[in-house]
Amino acid sequence: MTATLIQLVFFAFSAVLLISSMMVTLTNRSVHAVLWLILAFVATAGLWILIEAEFLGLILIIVYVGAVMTLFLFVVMMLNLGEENSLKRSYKSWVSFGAMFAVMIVLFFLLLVAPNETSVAVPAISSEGNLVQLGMALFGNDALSVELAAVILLVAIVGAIYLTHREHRHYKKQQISEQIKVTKKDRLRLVRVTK
Amino acid sequence: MTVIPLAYYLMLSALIFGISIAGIVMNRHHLIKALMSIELMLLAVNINFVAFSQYFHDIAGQIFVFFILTVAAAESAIGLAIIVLVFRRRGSIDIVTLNELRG
Amino acid sequence: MGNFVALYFDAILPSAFILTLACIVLLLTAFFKHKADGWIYYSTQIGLFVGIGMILRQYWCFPDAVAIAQGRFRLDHFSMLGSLLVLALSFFALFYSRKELIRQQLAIGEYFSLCLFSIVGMLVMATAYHFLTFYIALELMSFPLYILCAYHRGSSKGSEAALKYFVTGALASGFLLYGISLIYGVTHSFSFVDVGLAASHASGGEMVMLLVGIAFILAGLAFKLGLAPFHMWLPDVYEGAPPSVTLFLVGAPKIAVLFLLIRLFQTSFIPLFEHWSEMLYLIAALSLLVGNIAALTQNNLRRMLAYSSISHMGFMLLALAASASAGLSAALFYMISYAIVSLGAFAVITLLNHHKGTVETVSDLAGLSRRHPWLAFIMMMLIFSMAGIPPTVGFVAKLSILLSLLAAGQVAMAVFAVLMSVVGLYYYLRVIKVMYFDEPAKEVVYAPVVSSGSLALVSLTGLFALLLGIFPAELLTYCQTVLTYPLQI
Repeated sequence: MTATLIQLVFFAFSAVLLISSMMVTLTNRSVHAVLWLILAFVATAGLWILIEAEFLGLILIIVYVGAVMTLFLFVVMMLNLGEENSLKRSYKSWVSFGAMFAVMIVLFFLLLVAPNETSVAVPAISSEGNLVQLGMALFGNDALSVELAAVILLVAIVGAIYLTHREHRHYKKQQISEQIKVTKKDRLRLVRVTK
Repeated sequence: MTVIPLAYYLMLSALIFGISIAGIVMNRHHLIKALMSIELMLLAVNINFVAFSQYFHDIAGQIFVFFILTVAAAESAIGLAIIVLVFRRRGSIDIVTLNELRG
Repeated sequence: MGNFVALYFDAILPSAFILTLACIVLLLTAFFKHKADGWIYYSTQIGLFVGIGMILRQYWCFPDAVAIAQGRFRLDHFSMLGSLLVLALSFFALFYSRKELIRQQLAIGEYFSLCLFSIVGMLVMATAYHFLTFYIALELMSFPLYILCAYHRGSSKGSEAALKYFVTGALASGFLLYGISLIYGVTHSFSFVDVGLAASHASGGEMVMLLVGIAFILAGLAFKLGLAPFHMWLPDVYEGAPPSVTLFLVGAPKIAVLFLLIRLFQTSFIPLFEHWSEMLYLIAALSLLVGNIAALTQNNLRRMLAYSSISHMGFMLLALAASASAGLSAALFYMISYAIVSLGAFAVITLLNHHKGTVETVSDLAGLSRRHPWLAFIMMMLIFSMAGIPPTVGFVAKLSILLSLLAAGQVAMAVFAVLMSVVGLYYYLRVIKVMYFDEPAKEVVYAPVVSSGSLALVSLTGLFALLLGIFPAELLTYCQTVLTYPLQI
């Protein structure tokens, strides 16, 4: 591929990514927002594959678009929120948007200036592929972190099931120890009844 | 091979990060969209990590992305579960009208 | 090789054990439903005790610092103290949970397993020595806490608090990650030590990027500790979450985050000390101001204590910003004593909850001195300690922080801290006045039913507040000794 073509692909994907992420925050319908977010992820995957992080690009599509975004779509449809009233979006939130934008621009220029020494680099095409390297590192020293990530997923499963499970676990049962502890004072109150 | 400066990737990610912060601020009325903005924020972070990792020939950055993707998936599952719970209780996911806790 | 494997297993034994326990609790719940409730409670508590034993064994096994998995983790007396405190505080919090869960008719099994998962996260966090393990541990600690906050599914306050906690927490981890990515971009490494080495010869643009990264990380951690201006979730969560969950939240997670903060800033970012110390001063001053002023107007007791916790975190951060070795140990001493004291105060409030009524507002404490004089006395000791009144530990803690500030030449900051403490006196003394001098407004006044075991445990915190205030020297010197570990690389 020629240099210009790569640049062209980069700018095309970046433009798609920027526009779709803007649309995620600006669109009124939640379903549309999810679809724009999917587009943003696809564009990012393209950008990653462009700098030879193929495996992560594919994972992003398979796991993120395939599973997480489906979950989002599912919840959006289940809650059936309908169209958001665009009038609700007040003047104030646009001001804060502007402020955030300003902060962002500052950051933008900062990053433009800061890492100038690494501005052009050439990713080496390693003899072993991206996937092999990742696997070696992941199951070498980071094996314990992999275990912990698995625990995080377990927590998410337990939590999501516990929170959304419909069956009422508010069972009532006798608490004998509490019953025995009851004193006369708790149950009986003498009130002086005046005529 | 590549002719794209690292700074381009960083600027792209800074822009996405800013958009996502604005998105969270703007979408307080609509928490699912706030959650989507958080996903965008993590995406911005991931772009940074992947770019650094490829330009420094250091696989550790990509390992980190791998973990962020895992954790973010768990995070959105928990977040959506909480949103469903709130919606069932209140019939609304507007954080501005959720104001039983004030003071 | 065999020796290496043995060392590896000795090192991860406590967290692996607690993790196994969490899974067993989960299985017991799955198969026996609520029939196993008693078993779950006792096995959790005994398990936490065994965990403490395992860490004490590590004290003996590893006199020097050891790096595990190529420096992903680091085990030294500092991390062991962190783990020990996490386990002890969790034991204390869970001790009061069961009765409270039964009162609210909530499931026991999931609660304890989620707490145990969170404890695993905290234990790993105390030993983390690498940004990846730090991030994973932080999330493993936080996720169960989000769920626990919404644990009372029937309570709309609880789910609202959980939602706010979750959104701000997710935002915080986004900030944290962005900061980590910037730091990785400058230093090309995730290891705390290597980051520190690279940071020591950063200059120009790299320096700016590093500082922006540190600011982002600090913002993320400040969210977790509940420091202004990132404190919005804290009062809502303390008030809205089930009381037993609040009890769990006030102690162990904060200790874990603080241990990590000290390690991170002393190992990785110490070359840039002058720059981040100003950020810390700013956050600390803001927290002191916001916490104390907002607490003045609160009627809800737990909300008031939440704002007071914001101001306490700010006070503690002052010493981290001053950060000479004496400052660090003052901060550690302050945090340990505050964690125990606040846990005691929340435990008293939880104990007073009754099936006939709960303690919500400050005036619900009215007449406590006649209903249960001993409990009122304990509460008074704890409140005195929070306010920093002389015979208690709070006074010593505050004094040592002020001394470290003066040693660093920050006279204005010290004066400001003292002023804010005086403001704080008002709302603390109001609680004591209500307990001792006010007539209860409610018609039906019940005497709190308190079992002797829970009374003994809560008395321990009150006595601790008093005794440690009179004899603080041992703990202070120990804090100094243990802090030599994160300072050496």
